[in-house]
Amino acid sequence: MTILTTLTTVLLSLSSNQLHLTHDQQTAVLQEAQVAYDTGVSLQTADPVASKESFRRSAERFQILVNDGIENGKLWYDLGNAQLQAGEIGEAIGAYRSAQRYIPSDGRLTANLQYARSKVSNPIKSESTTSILKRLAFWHDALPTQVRLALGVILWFGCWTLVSVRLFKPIPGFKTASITLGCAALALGVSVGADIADQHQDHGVLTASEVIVRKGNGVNYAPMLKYPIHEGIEFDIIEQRPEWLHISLPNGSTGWIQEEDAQIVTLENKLSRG
Amino acid sequence: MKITTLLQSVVFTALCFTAPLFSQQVFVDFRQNVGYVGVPIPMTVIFENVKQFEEPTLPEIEGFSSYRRQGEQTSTQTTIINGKVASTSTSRVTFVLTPLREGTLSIPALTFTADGKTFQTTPRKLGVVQPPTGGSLKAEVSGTHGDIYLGRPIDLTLRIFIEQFTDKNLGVQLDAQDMFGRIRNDSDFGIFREALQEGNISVQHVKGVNESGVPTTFFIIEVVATAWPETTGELNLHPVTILVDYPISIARQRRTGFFGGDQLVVDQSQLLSAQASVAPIEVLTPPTNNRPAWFSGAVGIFDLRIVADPTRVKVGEPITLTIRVTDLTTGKVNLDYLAAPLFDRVSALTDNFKVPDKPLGGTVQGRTKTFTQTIRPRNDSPTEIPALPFTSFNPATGEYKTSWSDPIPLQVEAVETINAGDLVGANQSSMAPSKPIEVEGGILANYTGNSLLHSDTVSLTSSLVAVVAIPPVSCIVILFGLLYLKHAKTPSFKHKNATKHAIRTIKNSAKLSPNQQAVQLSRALRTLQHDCNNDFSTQMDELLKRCDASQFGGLPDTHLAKDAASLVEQIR
Repeated sequence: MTILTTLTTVLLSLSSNQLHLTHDQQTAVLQEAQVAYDTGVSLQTADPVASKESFRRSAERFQILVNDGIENGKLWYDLGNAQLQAGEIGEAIGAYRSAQRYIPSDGRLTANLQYARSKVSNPIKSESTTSILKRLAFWHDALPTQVRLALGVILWFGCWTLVSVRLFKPIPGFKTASITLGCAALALGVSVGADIADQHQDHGVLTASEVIVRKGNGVNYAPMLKYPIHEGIEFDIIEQRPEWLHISLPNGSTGWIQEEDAQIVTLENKLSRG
Repeated sequence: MKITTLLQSVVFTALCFTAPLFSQQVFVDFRQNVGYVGVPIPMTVIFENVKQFEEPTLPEIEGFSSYRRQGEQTSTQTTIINGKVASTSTSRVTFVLTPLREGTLSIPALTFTADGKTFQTTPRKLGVVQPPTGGSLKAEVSGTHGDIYLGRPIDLTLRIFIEQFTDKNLGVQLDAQDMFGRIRNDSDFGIFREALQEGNISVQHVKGVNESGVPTTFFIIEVVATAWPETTGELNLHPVTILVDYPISIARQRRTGFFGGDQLVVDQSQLLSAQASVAPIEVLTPPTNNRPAWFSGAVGIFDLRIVADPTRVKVGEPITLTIRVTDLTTGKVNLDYLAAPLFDRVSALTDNFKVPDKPLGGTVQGRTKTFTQTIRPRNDSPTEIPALPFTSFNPATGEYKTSWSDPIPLQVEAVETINAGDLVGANQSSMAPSKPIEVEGGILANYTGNSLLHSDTVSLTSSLVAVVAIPPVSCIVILFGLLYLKHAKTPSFKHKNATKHAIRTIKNSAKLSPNQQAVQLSRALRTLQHDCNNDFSTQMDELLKRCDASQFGGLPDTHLAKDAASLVEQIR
């Protein structure tokens, strides 16, 4: 299937929200994305402009797969790579952060996210210190959601199996074992629940080269910060209004930015947000 | 053969071979008496019946520029007239003279040498006037707007307007191809010549009115060329002169060849010229305000990447920096004039390294220019090559922007003594291979494979809720089961169960055979007898007697089942 044919098919498919790509189409789009990425790498020295164009093309195709509902860390990671190579630092950081949800301890992802963040002009560093709770729950960030879910279900079954057996006969150390298993399962459950709930919370990354944070949702409001902030800076969304976002920056500052200057990283409803 | 005939043949042959000797001459073919400023005129030097001639040259002629056309034309012609054979050999060398000013210009007597003889032409006069211009031909050049800096392209557009020619007598109009075919090759296209040869042109038709106010069509040919200023200051580009043999009339001409027929040809034409000058362009120097010391004149947006090799050296040993500067702007780029960053002015580097101050040459590949520079550590203190800057001036923002390379980890070992040789490269001894040191930054490879197409999403689905609910529900079910079993073993539970069974038996006893009925009713009534209070004890006893009589006495009792059921209802 030629690239043109594939792309046409894909565009036709995506023109209707109800339709999804077939597996063959997904495979073809993935192949095109990877070929375009490899082409971009090979042209980086000889023709940087063509190289960037190729990376941009690769990113578009990875994005088609994501928009089609395929969610996994490696796909987000590849999308982030293509966007970073194309010079879209903000979008790349957004993609890497989405990838973190699935492969949080992946070495490549950590390295590339760190590299992408190092490219941000005048980054805003977080002033908050690591809480004890966060230190104790280090595994929350270290283990993928699926692993935590599987582990939690196993411990949950283990706990109740122990309780069930105890109904028939006494078990030495039953109390300690059952409480430990129960608490561990509960902690993992809360951790997974937090992840699921987090999908409903909005994060974002700035994609415009310079963004003025304002005191209100309009260009006539005075700037909140003395200087504009730059592409790639991450933030949490406090509130959304038409064309404007109320954001919280890593250092705790809040303000309003125009929605077109940022990319929302939320997984949920990303299709409708384009 | 007669002797007279033989003599005639000898004379004829001799005449054939000696005829050329009689007409040897050199002359100049220059027919024009009037010329135009800037319009080249060909001047042909003709050598007739000359075996060998010296390479003809023209002296400097006041008021003209000249050059010789490549190659020469030679021809031989043999004619027989009235039995006389004449053979002529001709060599033609053409010079092109271009009048540079108006007035009467003189072409002096020119001297040429052939077959050892000297030939001289007669002097000539040429009246030179400005070429005619007219509304039928116009040319204009437009260029880049805004400030121009060294290293940035100047896009220039040449537009040639030619009025479409209409022959009213024949009712014929020439099309765009015919009209542009009238442009003479000796037009001076200046900077646009290369673009024209590459076919980088576009053609448009525009309706308008000519100088006489008559509606007409203009053909516009547009040529785009790019100039690259080499120095700052005023840039004067050579003006463009377009020459056109503009048609005056068209005539029908008989076509030669098998098919014959008529064809239309331009019968008469007049020379028209149009000149377009490019206004002087000021090539600016970036401002001195906020200009870093290491600024090397780069204009645009660039990315800097530096690779060092080796990264483990002794003090004084060379480290080669490969510096790659990539133009990140879009559009045309010419990096020939891009100078290397002046690292010898970066104190963070020069504090610990000896950095040559000689200008570096570079190689250009696409939009990247690569320089190599050798630096030498002065002491063993540096642990890295510091981040190095490349500053460029961005005309769009009017500000300097600096790209910084990543610091490169370095291991420098001390040497016993540092002599001059360490610093000038005398010591080229090979070193043990450096330990692999991971360079920070850069992008790691993509993931591949079909696993990219599998979703790993976790969401709160009904199946997940079911999986989580199964263990506690199962445990509770087991617990209730055990409790039930335990409760079933108690006497009260057993008694209650027996009472229920007895009542059910009494109610269903009507369907049994008389003998079976008596047995079953007897058992059931005895079970209920314990719970029966004094009010019904007499009736119970009587019923038991009737059961015994029926069971053991063989006396059938058709009302027994009914009476027993009635008693149970009363007891309940």
